Amino acid sequence: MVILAACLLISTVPVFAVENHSDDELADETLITANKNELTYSEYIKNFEGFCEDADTLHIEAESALLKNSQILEDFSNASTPVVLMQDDSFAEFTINIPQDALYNIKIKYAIHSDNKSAVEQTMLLDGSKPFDEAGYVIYNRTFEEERKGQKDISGNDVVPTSKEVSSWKTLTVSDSSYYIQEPFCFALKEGVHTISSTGVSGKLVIDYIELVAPKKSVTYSEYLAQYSDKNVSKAEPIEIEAEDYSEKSAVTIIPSTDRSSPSTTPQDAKNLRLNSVGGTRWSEPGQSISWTVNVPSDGMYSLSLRYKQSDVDGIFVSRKMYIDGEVPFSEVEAVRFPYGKKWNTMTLGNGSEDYLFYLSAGKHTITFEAVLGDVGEILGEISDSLVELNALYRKILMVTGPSPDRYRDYNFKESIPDVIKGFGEQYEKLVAVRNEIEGITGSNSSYISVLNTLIYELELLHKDPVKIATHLDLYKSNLGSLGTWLLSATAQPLFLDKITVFGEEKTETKESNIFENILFNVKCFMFSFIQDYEHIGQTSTIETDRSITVWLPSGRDQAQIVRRLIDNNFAQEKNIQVNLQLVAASNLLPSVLAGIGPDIAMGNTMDTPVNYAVRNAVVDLSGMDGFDEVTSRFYSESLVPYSYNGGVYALPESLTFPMLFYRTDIFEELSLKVPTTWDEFLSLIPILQSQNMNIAIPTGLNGYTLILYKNGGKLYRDGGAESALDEEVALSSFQEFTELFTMYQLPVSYDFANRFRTGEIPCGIQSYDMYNKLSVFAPEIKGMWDFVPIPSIIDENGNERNISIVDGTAIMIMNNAKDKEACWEFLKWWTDDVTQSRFGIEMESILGTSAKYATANKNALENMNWTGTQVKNLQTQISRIAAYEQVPGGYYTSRVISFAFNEAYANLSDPVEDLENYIEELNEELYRKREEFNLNTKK
Amino acid sequence: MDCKMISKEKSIKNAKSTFISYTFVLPFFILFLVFTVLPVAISLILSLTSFNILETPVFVGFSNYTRLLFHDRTFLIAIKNTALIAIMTGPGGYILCLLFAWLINELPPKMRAIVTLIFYAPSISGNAYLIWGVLFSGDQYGYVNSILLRLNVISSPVIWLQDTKYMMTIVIIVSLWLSLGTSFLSFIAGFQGIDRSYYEAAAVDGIRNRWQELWFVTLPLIRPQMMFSAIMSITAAFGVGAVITNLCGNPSTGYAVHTIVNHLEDYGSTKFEMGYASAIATILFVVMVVCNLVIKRLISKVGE
Repeated sequence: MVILAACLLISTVPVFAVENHSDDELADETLITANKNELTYSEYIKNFEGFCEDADTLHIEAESALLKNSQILEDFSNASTPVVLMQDDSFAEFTINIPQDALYNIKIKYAIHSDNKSAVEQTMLLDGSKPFDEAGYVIYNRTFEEERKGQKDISGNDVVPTSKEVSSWKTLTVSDSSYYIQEPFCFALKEGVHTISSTGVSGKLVIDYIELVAPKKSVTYSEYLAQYSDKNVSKAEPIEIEAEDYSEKSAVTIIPSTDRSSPSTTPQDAKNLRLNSVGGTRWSEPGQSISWTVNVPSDGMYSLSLRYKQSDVDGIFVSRKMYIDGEVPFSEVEAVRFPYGKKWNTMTLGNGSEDYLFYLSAGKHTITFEAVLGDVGEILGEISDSLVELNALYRKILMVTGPSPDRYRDYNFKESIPDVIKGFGEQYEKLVAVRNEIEGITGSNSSYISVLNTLIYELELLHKDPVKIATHLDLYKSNLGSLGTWLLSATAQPLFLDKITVFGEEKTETKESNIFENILFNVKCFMFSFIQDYEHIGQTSTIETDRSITVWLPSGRDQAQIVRRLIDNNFAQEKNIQVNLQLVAASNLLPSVLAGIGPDIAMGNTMDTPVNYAVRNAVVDLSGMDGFDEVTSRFYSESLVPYSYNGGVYALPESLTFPMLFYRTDIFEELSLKVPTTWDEFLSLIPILQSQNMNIAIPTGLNGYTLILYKNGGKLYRDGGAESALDEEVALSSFQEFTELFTMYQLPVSYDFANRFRTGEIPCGIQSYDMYNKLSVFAPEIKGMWDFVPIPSIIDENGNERNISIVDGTAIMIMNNAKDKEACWEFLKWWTDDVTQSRFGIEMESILGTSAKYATANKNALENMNWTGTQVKNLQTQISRIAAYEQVPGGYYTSRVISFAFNEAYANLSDPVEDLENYIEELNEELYRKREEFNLNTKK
Repeated sequence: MDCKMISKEKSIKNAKSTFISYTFVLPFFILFLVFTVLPVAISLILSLTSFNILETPVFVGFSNYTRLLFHDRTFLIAIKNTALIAIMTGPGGYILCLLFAWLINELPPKMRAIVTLIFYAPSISGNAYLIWGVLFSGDQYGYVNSILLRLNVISSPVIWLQDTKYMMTIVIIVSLWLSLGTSFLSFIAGFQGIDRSYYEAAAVDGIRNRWQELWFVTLPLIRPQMMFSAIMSITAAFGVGAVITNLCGNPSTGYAVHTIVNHLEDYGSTKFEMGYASAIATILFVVMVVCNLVIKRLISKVGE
């Protein structure tokens, strides 16, 4: 299924790897991959013009399907028939007998059954294959509602509510998962027996049945009006709905936001933060929707106006599809356009000359707006198709010239690749048409299409003057790259909403504030900023207690708000302890402790901090605390090593990260490479990748060295840090091995992993597993084209596999000058327990998105994070083989020595062992000296 | 008796009038005391203790100084590097400033304003020297590496900022580039302040060429600015540290460009030995004071 995902996505980006294929065999192979799904939906649907368009509905119960790894639930909540539970490796195959050739929409009735909050996805194949390029994927929408709305913190600021899933039965019609095509897919089925098969990708859901229904015909506005010609325009008072008071939303990342750009946004306050709008970049992905409930007093025709701001996408509009009670009333509101503007605006839905009238009966109705690509969707789809073609042309040129053509050679392109030159011409014409179409929509030659224009110019040039291909190849490639990036950004449809007004005859105008009101408001905000109590932002309750602790957190505001909420809702009430959570930069801890104004508890400390404070008697030894053993059993024992010193434990781990092997599935597949599981395979992969102008990355410095050292069974210190163990045979030979990876194997010493992984220059590398977070936001275009597995292993002297990953992480510690140490310990116990850590992780990811996936150190909570089945398995395999080196007084000198010796060996190509040995005496001296300073036994 | 009375009256009067002057000085004096004199004094005291920041300092006498001066090999490297950088960039930068200021002074006013901005820009734009980090990045895409690789001068990327062979040269180049700062501006201001009549008078008195004009008229007239610039240059040269930390890291490979300020930072923030760091600071302070005295002497010789 990963391959499938890869195929879907591969089409939008130029594939870097391919350009390095000098031998024809490889190039041929990639061509096949690229052409696998050549038929687009519009071409597909043209082939079936005579097919029946109003066939009878066919109904198939899910439990009748052929199932693998799925479970039939006989008695699921409010389902009349048995249902099927599917998860990430489940498979279901439905068999249908089609009575006559006909076109069908596929409808699925489902309910989400996942614990986490991200999208639930499945593949869907018709008769075992994708009927056309765009098919293949089904994304199941979810519905969330807000809990604890309208809460305020103790200073009067609004608090962002939390989301809860609405677990109800929903129906979806299978449509384009990349949202280029607006209407649901029509599948053409010939008379006879067909199969529809489905495999889980991520998330759990239950399916009740699937239905094949005749394609729905849309109604135009005039037809719609004709239906309700007997109804009058309502005389009711206008109904105002605050956009932030939505009733449902399709993604947890959609949360109410605070707008202070206009005093007219309601509710507004210069002193306190008010949640007064919703949307923006959080509501920009196609498919994300928000629903509002409106209570209509009397039957009649109503109009709708929206106060909105669309200041993110310059040069073009964003689109929303409107539903009333789950149905699009008429085709004109399938893509409502919101033009660009720096300010808030009010718009009444209409066609320019008159406002649209919607019929609403008395009672409750749901109005939904869904982000769609609208009229640009198909255009973007066409550009996407062009990109695939242009990438294929690029690869054809590569077959003749190689990745770096000789600019002085005459390749005679007209003879050797006439089809490419013809292709350039075709694509040029196609893109010019597309550009004209966009210009027709946006009205002007905007910055929106400058990237497209550049490529068009380039194509024209190459078509007319093929000799230039050799010199322009690099430029051509980078132009394709920028168009791919642009295409991704062009699908974003961000829109802020402040207010929705439903009105009949009586139209209310929302007045925008004038310049004086704006100035006054901003002055007020500025003045109030001096008296705002920033320390307690988000704190919702004060409790009557004389026990209070101060906790410092060195992360972002969002994290602090989540921690604050967890404390208010759980810890403070249960333990009756007041917590002052303060957001303070980590570098302030030392001076504050020195000045005697430090916190009781410091969170988020880097790994070397606790011992550094411990040797100076500034933190509390936790090992003597009540219930310490129970608390430590929550963690992998290795993760406590860096916080232990001289028999005591001075901090508890919060987050825990360790290196894993990241690789690009698509490139490995193209080159038919196997993911290395042993160190030998890893080494033999290096020359293969290097021959394709690619490389492998491993960490440099101490992180890289310890990876090799622990693999070979060495360690950094002897006798608990009394002396360096780097002079031992294994340490020296490991250092040689480590250095040779860079000198002999020529691995890069300095690189930006995320960037080169994204382009494919480094398709494989050992990186800390939180690189996952970075890649998922930084490189969305390679989504589904990469994965991570445990690092390569060696077989040790006892015949066991060994692949030890060295941990890094953050820790929480209690300062020695805390007054109420028992209360602090209670806080630590609460914070590190399974439930709190799981909640924190889930909340983080749901509010901040995938990039905030939390690498918890808690064993059980890790499983509750939103990883797929295989990812969890890989993580657990690796986590059972982690190691940590002890933090010792003077330990900073070890990393210094390693980097000095490495740099010298690398720069001078000198003997690494000798370089390292030169420093060991110096290192030991520092260790002795530091131990003397703290009155520890030394070897001196 | 009378005499006494008068003097007493006078001194009261004096005190009254100077009191007002003292009140004017007071705000600055308090700030100067609290933020300059006091820290220096505290640092002097701390340098006689062993102080790990988190616990109470312990008095250890002069042992920090003996260790620093007689047992700390790294400190000797730091002194050597600091001296080298100071000699190259202190006087070097100073002469450059003077030369450029003199040249720019010859330009028409509008051009002068533009060129001044260009020369002064590196030092007003804060951490602009980080651009050198990109230029000399060890990455194959660092500008220098990328160009040299393309020209086939090198076959694999060079880690410029970690290779002891190149680090000192790069640091000196960057420091020189940065040195066209405040002293450069003060020179320009000094040149502007000279009345044309001096040159006319000097011409009548028999000045034969521009060099004589510079030495006998211009430079003596801008002596205060020269003094100011010299002190700024030398202080800056001895205080080079942040540039190195940001370019080569602290500590730099093999302490190749480790300066006294780097050494101080190393002990103060990595090793948590504030007493020792204070001793380093004290030595640096003494060295700077001595240098300033020497400079004063040298400047007074200008034009003689």
